[in-house]
Amino acid sequence: MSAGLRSELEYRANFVIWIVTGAVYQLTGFVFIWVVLTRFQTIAGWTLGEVAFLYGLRLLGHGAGLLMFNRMIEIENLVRDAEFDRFLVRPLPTLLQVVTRRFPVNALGDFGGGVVLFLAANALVGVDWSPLSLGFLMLTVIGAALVESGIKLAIASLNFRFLSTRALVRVIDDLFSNFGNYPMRIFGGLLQLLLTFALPVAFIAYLPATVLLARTDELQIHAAFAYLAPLAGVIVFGLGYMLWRHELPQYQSSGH
Amino acid sequence: MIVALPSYAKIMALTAQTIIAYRFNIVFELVGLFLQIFLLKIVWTSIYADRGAVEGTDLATLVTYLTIANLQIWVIWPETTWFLQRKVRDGKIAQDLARPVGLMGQLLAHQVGSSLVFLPLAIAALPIAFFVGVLQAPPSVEAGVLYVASVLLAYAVVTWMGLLMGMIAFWTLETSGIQAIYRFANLFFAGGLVPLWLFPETLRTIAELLPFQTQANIPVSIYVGRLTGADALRGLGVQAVWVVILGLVVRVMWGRAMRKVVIQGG
Repeated sequence: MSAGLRSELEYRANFVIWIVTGAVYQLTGFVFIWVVLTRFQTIAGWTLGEVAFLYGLRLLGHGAGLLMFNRMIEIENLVRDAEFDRFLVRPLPTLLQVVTRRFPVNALGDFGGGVVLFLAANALVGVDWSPLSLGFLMLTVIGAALVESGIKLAIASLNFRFLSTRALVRVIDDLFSNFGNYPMRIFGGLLQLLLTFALPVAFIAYLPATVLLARTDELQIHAAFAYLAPLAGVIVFGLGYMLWRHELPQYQSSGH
Repeated sequence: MIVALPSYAKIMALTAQTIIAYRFNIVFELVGLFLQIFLLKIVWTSIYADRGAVEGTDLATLVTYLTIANLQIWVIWPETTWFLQRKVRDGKIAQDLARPVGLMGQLLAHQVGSSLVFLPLAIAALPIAFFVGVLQAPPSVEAGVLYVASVLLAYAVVTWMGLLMGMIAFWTLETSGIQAIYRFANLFFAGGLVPLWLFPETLRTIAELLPFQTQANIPVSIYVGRLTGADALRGLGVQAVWVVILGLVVRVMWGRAMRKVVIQGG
């Protein structure tokens, strides 16, 4: 086998492994819920179908977020390699250049998993899919993508001051990826509020899901928050972007 | 062997130092671990609702099981996999084989060396585990003693599995795929998310045929008192069988790998 062919195959194999690894990580949580609910039927009154719906919805938003802005984590390397200066002298807006540098293929695994899970869940729950609810679904996914991207953007801008934020990204990603899959009634008052207004996990999937599943009466906050959930994405992304723009000139002027 | 003892100690010390250098990452690993334990406690509390006991075990005992299982899985991690992969990648295997300690000795010293860091850390972090999860004492002295014996056997099984995964590097150079699969399979089938006694029938049968349950399910079941007396000894026996089987596979694969190294010159 020629060296070229071998490395080509290895590259492809790593590529597949990469996607599969991401998917496995995300789906571990669902296998857990599946096994538990097979035996116990409901959690906080939610059936397996409803929880799968919530989980799939979150994965859709998460995958969309990755597709949009996965390469924010690249910035750390860019800063370190001083490659970032290259982008500062080009005419395109800095952010756009960073984003198109490499296509985030692992996002395909997550998004694909979300599609499959969401479709499967829909066979189990009775959602009335009108143009209105479909529109809300789309806004939800976009809003979720904006929330996760906005937070990642905010953290990325911290890269200008602190060289390593990778661990922080991991922890926050863990919080969204794990705590975001459950009907948040199970968290109790304080934790629920924290995961809504301190870290906007609830806006990604839980609140929109209560709207689509007609479960808004179980919420401890006003139902309006659920109906307007996608708006949270705009706000969070706006704040994150503002922070990014604020930190960027500081990087430029610090003698790099 | 006796002559090489100082060398083993040196390698372990070096490993420990390297890990401590990455302490920032380890702190965040622990944070992630505690978040997971915390979430498991919340989810299971909600699942149990008003039930007193399920399959003879109450909520507090179940969460104790999950807390200890997750701590154990973190502490007893197969460190030799990436270590061996890196050595193969560096291409200096031939040199390692010539050293007084030998490659296998180095790998084992590395594994033990890393545990010398993770175990104290986990023990120091127990108060936090007590808060985010549930920690009860074992119901009897017998349970505690058998637990320790069981953990030692679990350690041996994980060490062998780590070596086997690492040896894949001799053939394909890339072990991250199998490590990802191991991470999930081990966490799930060792009982780190759902205790094995609550698995659906088919899954439970599969789980009991796999080596992962020796990693946490058996020792922790002994700890919480679900396996006592003859059942506990039987559990230890299952672990011992896996130690032997995997040890033999390691020996065979190691022989093959060494032949390959000799032929291809490392």
